[in-house]
Amino acid sequence: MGKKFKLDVVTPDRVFFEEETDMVIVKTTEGDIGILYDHEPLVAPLRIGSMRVRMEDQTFKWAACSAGFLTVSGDHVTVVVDSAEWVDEIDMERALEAKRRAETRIQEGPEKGTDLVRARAALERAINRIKLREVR
Amino acid sequence: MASSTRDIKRKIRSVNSTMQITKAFELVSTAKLKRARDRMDITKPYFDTIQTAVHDILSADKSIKSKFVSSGHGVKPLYIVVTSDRGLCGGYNINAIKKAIENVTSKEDAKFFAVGKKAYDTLRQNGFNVIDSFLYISEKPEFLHAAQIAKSATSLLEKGEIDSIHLVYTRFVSTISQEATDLLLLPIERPAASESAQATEFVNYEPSAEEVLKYIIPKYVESTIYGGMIESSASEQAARRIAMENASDNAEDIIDDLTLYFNRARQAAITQEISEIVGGAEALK
Repeated sequence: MGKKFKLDVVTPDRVFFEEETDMVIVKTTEGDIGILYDHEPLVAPLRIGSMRVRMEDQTFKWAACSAGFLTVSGDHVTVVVDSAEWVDEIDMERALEAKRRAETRIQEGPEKGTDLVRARAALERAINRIKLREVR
Repeated sequence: MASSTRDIKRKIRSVNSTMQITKAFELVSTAKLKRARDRMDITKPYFDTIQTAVHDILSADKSIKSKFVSSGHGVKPLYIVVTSDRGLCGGYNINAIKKAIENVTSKEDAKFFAVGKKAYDTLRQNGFNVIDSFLYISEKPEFLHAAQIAKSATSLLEKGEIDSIHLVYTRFVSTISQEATDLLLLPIERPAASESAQATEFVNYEPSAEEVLKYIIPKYVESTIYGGMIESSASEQAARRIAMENASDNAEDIIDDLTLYFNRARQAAITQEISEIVGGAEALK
């Protein structure tokens, strides 16, 4: 196990993760990147996707994240996202329901006053959750 | 005399029932204050993290160009005023509204977003230009509401109808002290003092500094508005608790005074009755 750094993951409604780890993989708008100890200072926006944190026993713990951003400075890594949950916390029924809702909204189209951008983002989040839950 | 004691008794009863109400309000707002403070503690780290991130980016890289970053004051400000929907909370609402209109030079140029019924009513009555209002959310603000407010405010800024966004909210200093605050949201002022400290550190931006800012600044606006609303709602409950506590204390004082008058009046009536009886008996002799 390599050297450790401090990882903070914060969302508007809780401090999601606040511990030391030696590796985290997040999905930026440019693709997945892995952060190890002593990474150069970096700021990058994150897409809806997954986050992997390497735990004490070398296994990765998976979490579903929505959009946010990442800052790396010194030995401190901060991930700010709109929402985050561990894969085993995902409420499958809620995600399916959200997916259905978003789909009908998109099908109804803009004439019903739907915010298409928002509906698409909601759909993407729901699909992300469902996929992660099924695979992991 | 008899009527006077009855009057006083009635007054005592009425003050007493008012006191029951204020006492109940006090208890309710104590409970709500606790909940609001818990919420505030949860959101604080998020709020602080974004704040520091934005400031770090701006101070680390002087070359960043964005329409949201500039210096100098605008002439077409937008004020987002956060107040409550309900009264009975002392100076809480009026202090926030006063703070908002403190620096308004001309009523035509300044625009207002009213969060909470009190701000909406007061600003409208006084002829201010309230272009949008968000009612019945200030007690339990959700992130979604903040996102909505942020979206319509930034779109106005992009259209050029306004050139700066101020957030007026009530800062929660402690349970007995809250302070109305005017915060300049956009354009963001460049932090000037940090040049010597960490200007040499090179920070990488993926894909580019401008792209990152384009993403982060709306987030910053959203989360600052959200944080402001959460703090205001805690302040509201604290202000209401204090106001109701004072009202209950006042009612108690009034009841004490009235009881004294009542006893005095009762004693006077008894004395008079006795002297009448004695006088009557004397006359029969």
